[in-house]
Amino acid sequence: MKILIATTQVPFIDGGAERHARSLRSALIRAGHEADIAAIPFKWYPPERIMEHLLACRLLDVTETCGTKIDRVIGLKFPAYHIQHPDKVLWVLHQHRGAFDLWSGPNCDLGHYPNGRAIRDGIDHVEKKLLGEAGAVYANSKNVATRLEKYSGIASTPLYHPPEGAERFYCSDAGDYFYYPSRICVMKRQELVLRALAECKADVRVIFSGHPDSPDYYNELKTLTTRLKLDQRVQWLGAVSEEDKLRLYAESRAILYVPIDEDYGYITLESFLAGKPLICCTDSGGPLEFIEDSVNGWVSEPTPGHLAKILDEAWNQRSACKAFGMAGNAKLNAMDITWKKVVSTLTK
Amino acid sequence: MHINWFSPLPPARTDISNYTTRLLPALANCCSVGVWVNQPDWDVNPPAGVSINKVDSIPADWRPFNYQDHNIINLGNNADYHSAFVKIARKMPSVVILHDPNLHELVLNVIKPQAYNSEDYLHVLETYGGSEARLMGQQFLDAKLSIDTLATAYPLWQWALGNPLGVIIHNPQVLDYFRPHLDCPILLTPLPYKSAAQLRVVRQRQPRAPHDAYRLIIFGFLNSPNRRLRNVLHALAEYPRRNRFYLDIVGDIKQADDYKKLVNQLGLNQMVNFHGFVREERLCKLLDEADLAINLRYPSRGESSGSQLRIWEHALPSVVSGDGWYSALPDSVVTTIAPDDETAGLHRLWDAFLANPLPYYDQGKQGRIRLEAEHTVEVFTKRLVPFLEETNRWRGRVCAADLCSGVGRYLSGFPEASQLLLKERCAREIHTLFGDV
Repeated sequence: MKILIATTQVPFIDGGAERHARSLRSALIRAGHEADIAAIPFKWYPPERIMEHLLACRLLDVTETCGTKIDRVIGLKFPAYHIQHPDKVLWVLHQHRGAFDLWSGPNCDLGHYPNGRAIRDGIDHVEKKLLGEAGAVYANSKNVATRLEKYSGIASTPLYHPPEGAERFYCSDAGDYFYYPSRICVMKRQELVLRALAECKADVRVIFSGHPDSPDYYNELKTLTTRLKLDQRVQWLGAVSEEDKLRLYAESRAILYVPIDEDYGYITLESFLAGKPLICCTDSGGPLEFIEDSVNGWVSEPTPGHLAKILDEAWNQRSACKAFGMAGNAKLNAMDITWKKVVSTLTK
Repeated sequence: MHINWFSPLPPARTDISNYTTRLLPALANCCSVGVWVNQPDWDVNPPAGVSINKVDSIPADWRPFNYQDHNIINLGNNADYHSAFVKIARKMPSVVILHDPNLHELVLNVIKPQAYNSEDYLHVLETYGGSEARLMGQQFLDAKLSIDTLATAYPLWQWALGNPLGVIIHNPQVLDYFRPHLDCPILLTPLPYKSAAQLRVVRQRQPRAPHDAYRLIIFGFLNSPNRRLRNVLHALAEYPRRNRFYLDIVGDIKQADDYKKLVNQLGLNQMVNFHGFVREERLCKLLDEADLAINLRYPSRGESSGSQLRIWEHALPSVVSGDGWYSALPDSVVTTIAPDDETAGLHRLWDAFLANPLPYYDQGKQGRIRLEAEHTVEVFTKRLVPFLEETNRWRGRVCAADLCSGVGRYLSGFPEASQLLLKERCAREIHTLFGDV
């Protein structure tokens, strides 16, 4: 089949969603399909831009390319997944979260604009109406499927996929750090980790890597590191190479990942692939679909005090870390999360 | 349910502040209310469930409005109390209570063309009235045309309303005017006055003895010439049996000295009493003691009259102008006189009243019955709640309207032929998205 992957991209941002689209394309090609990505640039402010981008997507004609039929469209992200096609399947990474689960919370930007409520209600209306256009709707996690049902009344099937380069992860002897690999932004809550570290009794050390969404916020975190007297225990590496990332995973004691209501969270899977346990929070969303507290990781309350307690506990139990990591790896193997399964589901 | 309610509050000397004060207890019975005022201070003890907040200009933080169920903005013409509200209404789709369908004076004072923004003001006029409106606007700025003439021709409510989710009006004639121009939900509901339980006990009136003069009363916000005070004074002076009447004039009048001079010139000193602004209890006493209220408005700008409801509360007979909201009132509850026959009309009324006041007292009682049936705050809130639910659905249409405007702006630079094609295509898609709301 000739398959087009319809997604949205914020220019100059390359995160999990972009890797997801690339991995899907590679998997489709490996399975013998022709596949390409249509990444629609997306800007969500001021809020009226959201509806304009949606309209732009609706105006696109992707039924053919150079006289050849495009057999199927796989939609991944709002509003690109509303591109029209007679044979469309959705594999929803997430909806426009500011209009749904993030609405009225501290990380909602829509509420700051005078027309925010109108746009939010407009998105809500459109989602309820258009998501049903697709022949089938899959979600990239149970968490996203639950949100689709809750906010838009759309039933969907969770469809897990392995992270990019899954086969390259490996496990080495644990060093003296916890590793927090992620984009650096408010939603990933690196700040919570810093504040927890300041309350730790043990000499817990953390290495953060990842590209900051905002240089200002990155600088704020670095300033906070100094203010909390954590410079000797915290390293900010910024973006690192794939090889370095794999090594940092492999040599860590455990992986830290404490986002707010993450859709899926590659980091959970990567952690298990590297044979490392994961520490997340009770409100971290997607990771909770994989983590069993005190079996293959730890689940903390999202407070500095409680997280500090968990960090101390994990830091002081080197052998438990090893055992939990192995348990995570075994669980992942048992779940059969493969691209082959993803491709056969999305192309059936 | 929580609503944000934008309105002046006492001591703001506008009837909308009294309107809100009367409504708050009933509103608080069906939802929690955040009142937002555009004035430095207020003299109201809010009922339980009601908070009062200040908003001085365009808010820096829209979250208090976005995250509540409904935003209801009262719009009247007094820029002292409504200028922030109109700015908010233009930016945030809201439910608007339109107390006056002609908002030209408010728009004028918000844009302040004399000070620095004449081009903005002229542009607004041109947008809603074309080149002729712009020309008349320039004539007004050059002091060659009165604001009344310009405002009557171009009421500019469209500019003030922005993109409303719904409009509430209290005047059926205004509804006839707006219906073709507004496609959002409109609630026509009688002007609410008080809770049924708060209405005063009616004083029974009896014909006075031949030597005892009847008491006429004019009250309220009397500064506008459309309250006809000058004409009433002349009519009284020309009335042969004027010594059968006293006239109480109650309320703020900016040119009180001029009126007092006129009363002196007309020889009415013995029968006219200027009370100025009085407290509530004093006004109630004067209304109870009165025999006939004169509540003229000409030209009417389509406003409903809180004063008329107060007159009916006291079961007081009244005379109104045959214009606007007043002209639709039945003869059973008011006496109507034609604006072009004002003096003769007043004289005929006074003749008939002096001959037999009983039918007029009965008219006052009928007014009270009408007030109890249609104008209680309970009637208002009962209609308000389902209407607000209806307006919620309209947000989708607001999105569609914004999208249409955006498309129009983008396409305006395109050649005409391709513009048409693109507009049609966009219209089809926008209809797919929002055609069902």
